[in-house]
Amino acid sequence: MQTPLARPKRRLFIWAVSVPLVIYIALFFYWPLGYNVMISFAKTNLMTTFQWTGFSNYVSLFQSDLFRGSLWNNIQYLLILVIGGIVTSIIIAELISLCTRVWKRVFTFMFFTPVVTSMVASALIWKLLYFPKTGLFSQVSNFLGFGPQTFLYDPRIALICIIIFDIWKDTGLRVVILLAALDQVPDTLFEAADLDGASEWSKFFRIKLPLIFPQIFFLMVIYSINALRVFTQIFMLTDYPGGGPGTSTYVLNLLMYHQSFRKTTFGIGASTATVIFILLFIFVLMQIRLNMRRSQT
Amino acid sequence: MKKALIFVIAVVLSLMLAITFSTVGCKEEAAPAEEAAEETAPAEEAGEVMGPENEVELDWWFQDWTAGIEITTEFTNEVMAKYPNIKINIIPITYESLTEKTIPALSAGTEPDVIFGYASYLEELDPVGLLLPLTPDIMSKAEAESIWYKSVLQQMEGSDGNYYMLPWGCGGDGYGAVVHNELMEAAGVEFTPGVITEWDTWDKIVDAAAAATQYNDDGSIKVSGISMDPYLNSWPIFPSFAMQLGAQPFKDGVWDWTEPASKQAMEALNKLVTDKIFDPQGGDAYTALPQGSVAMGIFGAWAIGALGVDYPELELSFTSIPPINPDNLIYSSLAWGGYFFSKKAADDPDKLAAVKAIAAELSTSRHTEIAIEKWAGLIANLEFLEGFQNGTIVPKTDDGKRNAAIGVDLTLSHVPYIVYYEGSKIGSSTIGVITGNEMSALFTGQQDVDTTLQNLTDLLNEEEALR
Repeated sequence: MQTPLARPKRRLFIWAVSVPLVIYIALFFYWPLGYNVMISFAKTNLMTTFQWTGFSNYVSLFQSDLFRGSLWNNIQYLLILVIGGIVTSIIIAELISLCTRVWKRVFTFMFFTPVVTSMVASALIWKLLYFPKTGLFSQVSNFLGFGPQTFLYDPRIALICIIIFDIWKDTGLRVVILLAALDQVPDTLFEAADLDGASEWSKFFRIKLPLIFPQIFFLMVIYSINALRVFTQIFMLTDYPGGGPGTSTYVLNLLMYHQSFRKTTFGIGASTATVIFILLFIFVLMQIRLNMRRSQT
Repeated sequence: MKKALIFVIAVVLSLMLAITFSTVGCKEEAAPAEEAAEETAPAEEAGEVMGPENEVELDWWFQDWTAGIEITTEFTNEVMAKYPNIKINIIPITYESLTEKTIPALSAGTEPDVIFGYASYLEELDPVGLLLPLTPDIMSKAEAESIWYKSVLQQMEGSDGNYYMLPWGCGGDGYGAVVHNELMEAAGVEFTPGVITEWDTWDKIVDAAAAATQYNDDGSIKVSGISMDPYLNSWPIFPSFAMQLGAQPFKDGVWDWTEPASKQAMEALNKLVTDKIFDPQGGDAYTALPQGSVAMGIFGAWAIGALGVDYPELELSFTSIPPINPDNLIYSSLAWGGYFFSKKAADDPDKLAAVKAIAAELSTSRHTEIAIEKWAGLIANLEFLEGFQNGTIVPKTDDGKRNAAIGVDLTLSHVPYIVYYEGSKIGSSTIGVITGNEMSALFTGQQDVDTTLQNLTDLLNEEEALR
């Protein structure tokens, strides 16, 4: 029989365990957050200038066309990445789940390889694949009769091209998560559905999809956060200093980077960071509430 | 228990915020300008520089750029051989990280002893109190101005009138064009390969580019006669051309790019697109030129040198970009590269002696002599320029001779005519990002010339107001 720790010892143990954790979290999470919020109300270059300016950083931010354009790009990125990424992953996972065990492993390995490849290395390769005129994609397009395409250099489609890369990069991870979920669906449900004469479509939409929804929801949350935080993909795929052609692929994180590190206006950069944080917070809260409501019903 | 834990969290956070509030904005006051400006170096008079008396180890941040690391390693090895008490650790850092780390490190006082960097990192800040001043702590102003171009030193001039960067060279801007010999020759364009001097007007450059342009059957551009990457390589062409044509873009604290001269300059550049000589969607020139889809690329000096190193098999020539109006030679500001020294050296006599010894070595032509074998760019060191011109300095290799010829040609044709936007609080990096983005939007058909110039005016005025 386990002897419970004596009350003072137990208290000491809790303190010993929790205080370092509290200090760690305060030091590396809440302090930077608080400091960021603080300097978002100031005009500062972090070194020689510090002047409280109230809400003026936020006012100039919301008046800026570049901020609104970047926010809109983030929203587009989020919608296309989440919907496109998850739908393609569900289809691929479902197709792989129909394969034999050996082929399942082969395909999973194939799709998972890009996940473990460095983002920077993958982006550099895709930049060459997308390169106008001489890049592989342009040559394929030309061969198929669509003429040479300029992809990342065309402001109308540059963002879409980056999202396609991002979808490709993480498909393997989503597929592995969804495959694991699909494997957990009990066979008895399909046997019962067969007895009822259900079609394959019905079985997929009425049995599989609802049962793997927790995993789909998890992916939605994670990739929504990723879409709002996107930076590396755009920075690496577009020409230095990133976000081109013009400002057609600017997103909030890139805007914050330029404001802070290129222009040394850290105050306004911090206000952009605060807006990103608030957007993320609201977005994740909304998704969690939606999921709770769904679970209750 | 819960209450106690909440109390601990609250205390920790409050302490942190209190520390933050008490330290922010409390940097040391700058020394008055008049005191420092004309002082001479306190330690040594002109002549032999003594190294540190005791052994001293210095950290030296350098951009993770292969040729640059080789140059710096060779140079520091010579320094360490000459001054046995100095040990230098070269720490390679990527270009982006170097930009991002320099300011936070200086802010936190954790910077290394020597930092290679660009004036663009710090030109928007007042360096007084952040860095060890080059003048008068290391040398006198008069001495500095006899070693480097004054206009170069002025880019890192503090509010106290002292200089804060020891200059090396400059690149990253549109000051030269690299020519793909094979494509030009195939198009029947006549030129002397190597350092081309015969294209001495902007019109001649445009004519050569037009002749080299190749088209597909549908009329689209197959090979661009010329290519301009709007930010890194070529954005300063626009302000340079505009000012040569008579524009005064910054007057009385206000930006205005809507003058007719500015419009004429932007139209001259956009004409390359409308006349179908330059395909702005043809990919970055640095990649496209070696692939044969660009016959001539406008590049900054760093890229000109790097192209020769990265593609040794390519037959390339070089020409500097001539002015659009030779009667009014003005060139836009540039971001010079060079060395910053940590202010911490001032508290340690041995470190200060070591820094002075390094600065003395960097001030001779030797550093540029080493560098020129692997790099071409605008040269700040006057001794090297004079030595190369009068034949007392001869690079060892063919690459070195070519790089030196390019560098000297670029420097002499541009550097004496550089102007800064006097009174503006924004630096070349900010101006470059904004100008480059707007030029890119114009060239890719997202806006017309008038909108571009109006946006440029509005955005630069907004930035000015933010500082």
